[in-house]
Amino acid sequence: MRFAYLLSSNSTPWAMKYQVGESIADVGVPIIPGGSGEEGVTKATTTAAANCLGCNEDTATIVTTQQTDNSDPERTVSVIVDPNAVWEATLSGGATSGTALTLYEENTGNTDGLIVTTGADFSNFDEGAIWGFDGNNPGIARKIITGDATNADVGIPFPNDIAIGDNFLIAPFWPSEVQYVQLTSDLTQVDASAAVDTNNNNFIPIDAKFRGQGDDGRTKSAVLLVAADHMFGHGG
Amino acid sequence: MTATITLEKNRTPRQRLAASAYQGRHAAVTAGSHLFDLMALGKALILCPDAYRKLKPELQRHGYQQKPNLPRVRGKCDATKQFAPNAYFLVKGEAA
Repeated sequence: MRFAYLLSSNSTPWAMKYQVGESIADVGVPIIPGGSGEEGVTKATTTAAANCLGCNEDTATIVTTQQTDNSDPERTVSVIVDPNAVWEATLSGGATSGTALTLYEENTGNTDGLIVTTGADFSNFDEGAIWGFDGNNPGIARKIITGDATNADVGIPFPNDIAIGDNFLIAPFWPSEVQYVQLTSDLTQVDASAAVDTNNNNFIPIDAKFRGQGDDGRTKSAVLLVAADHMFGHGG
Repeated sequence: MTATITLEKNRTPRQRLAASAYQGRHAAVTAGSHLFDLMALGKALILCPDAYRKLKPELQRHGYQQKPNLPRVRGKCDATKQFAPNAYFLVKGEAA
């Protein structure tokens, strides 16, 4: 994940450095305080980020042995710790970062712009988002008000008819809802193939970049997140 | 004769976090030496404007640059250990 902006009048975020309690090989990983007995801060998990500090901007390999040259074995990561930080995470089509989002091809057609039918089961994406990838409604997003075994129903119609062959993309959240996300296995992106979640209490989607074919929607769609439980915020 | 040594154990997440906060370079280590160590480890650097101006040629030589989405931060300067409200934030080239 990468720093996007602050939800405050100040434009400059806080940065601090912390000793690591485990090796952290990737940049943009949510960081949390270490547990009892751990040497320092650690990575969050794909579904939990209690007392989140923010995301790291450099990597570190933990050193737990005294050095022969007496150099300091302390190893730190720089973390943007501003509780007002908004983080941008690319949407991945699976648990592995970089997976392209799955295309859902309309197979029935709909002239009122309210129902998308592709043969896929949308039950796990009820209350999530669906947006056009190509066809008549590229880059236009709607909330799925009812996702079931056959259809994704939207309450606000797409402006143009949904034609057979139109492709859509989906995500398990709708900005402004009380929902959370599941991260990919390396914790740097959001797993858009996971079901809509209201329990993780890790990151809340506040905005999104639902991109169509012309903007590489399958690999560059993104979500903007705030920490639901920040160490230095009101919930920390 | 016995003695009892009482250690206050860090219990809450905030206490544990405070214990792992980076204290900055030791007093016996020069600023330049410390910064070169950080650069050798590929660490992100927080530099006040004065330190940045002095070190700019070395930073460029080591491939450090600002990130477009995060050019400045508020934090403790790695050189002077003083708080800087508008410090330069620099990372090694491949991370920028």
